[in-house]
Amino acid sequence: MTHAFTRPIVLALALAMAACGSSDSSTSPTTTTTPTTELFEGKLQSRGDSMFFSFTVSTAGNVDVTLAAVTGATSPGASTNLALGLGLGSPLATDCNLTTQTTTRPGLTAQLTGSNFSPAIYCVRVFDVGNLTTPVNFAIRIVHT
Amino acid sequence: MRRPALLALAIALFCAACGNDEPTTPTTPTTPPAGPGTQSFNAIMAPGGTAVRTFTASAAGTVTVTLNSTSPATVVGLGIGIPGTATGGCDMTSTVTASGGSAPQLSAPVSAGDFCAGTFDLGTVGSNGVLVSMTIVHP
Repeated sequence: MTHAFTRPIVLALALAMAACGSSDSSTSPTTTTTPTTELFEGKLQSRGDSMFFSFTVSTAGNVDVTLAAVTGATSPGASTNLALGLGLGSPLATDCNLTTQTTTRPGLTAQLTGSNFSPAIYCVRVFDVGNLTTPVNFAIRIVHT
Repeated sequence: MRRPALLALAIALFCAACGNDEPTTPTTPTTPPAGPGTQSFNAIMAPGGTAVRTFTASAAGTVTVTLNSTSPATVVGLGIGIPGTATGGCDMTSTVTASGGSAPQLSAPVSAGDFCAGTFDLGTVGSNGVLVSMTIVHP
């Protein structure tokens, strides 16, 4: 009687375990890193002026830097096509030590790009290259991992 | 005797339904990806004001901006840039002086990402404001 009662349950559990068992092939989750976008806005006041902005790369990946806007400080809205210096590097004491730089006019595609950046703190500098006669506002977009 | 057997069979069938021996493919989020598109909008721009719209380019390409009309007819600033804190929340990359027309007054190559475009008063907008009609075509 006891065997007759328990046998079907044992059988059912065995079947259940077989049915719920894992397969031989397994999948591993893919890790997708969403890039971080940062906006760096400021004003260059006079000839030779510069500013820099630090950001943190948290996982190894690419860095894209776009000088997106250079506008007259006294006439908001109107863009100027003024070329500025744009550099990318690492903080050094209270400065930004550039490892790459270019002179560029504002645009909507990255003027500085780099790949395989290790996790660390980096910096972007914007600076006058001798064209500045009046103050200008600027906006820089940094996209990094 | 019959009841435990039925119960056991039910458990077995239930768990069999839970099994999955097929390899699974990781699924991506179901949020629909942004794609190329056209945005048209009308807005009343106040004196000294702005009328700006943001949009997302899903890939690199060219954006065109057309100021279709202004009512009453007037000249305004038209610009394209990235979202920020300047003109109406848009840091302008390129600006022109424009009145209404059917051909794009602005075009710019872009990377994938968020951008903005819109109009701003050049000091010509009367006290009643101006109705601007604009079209943005993006990748």
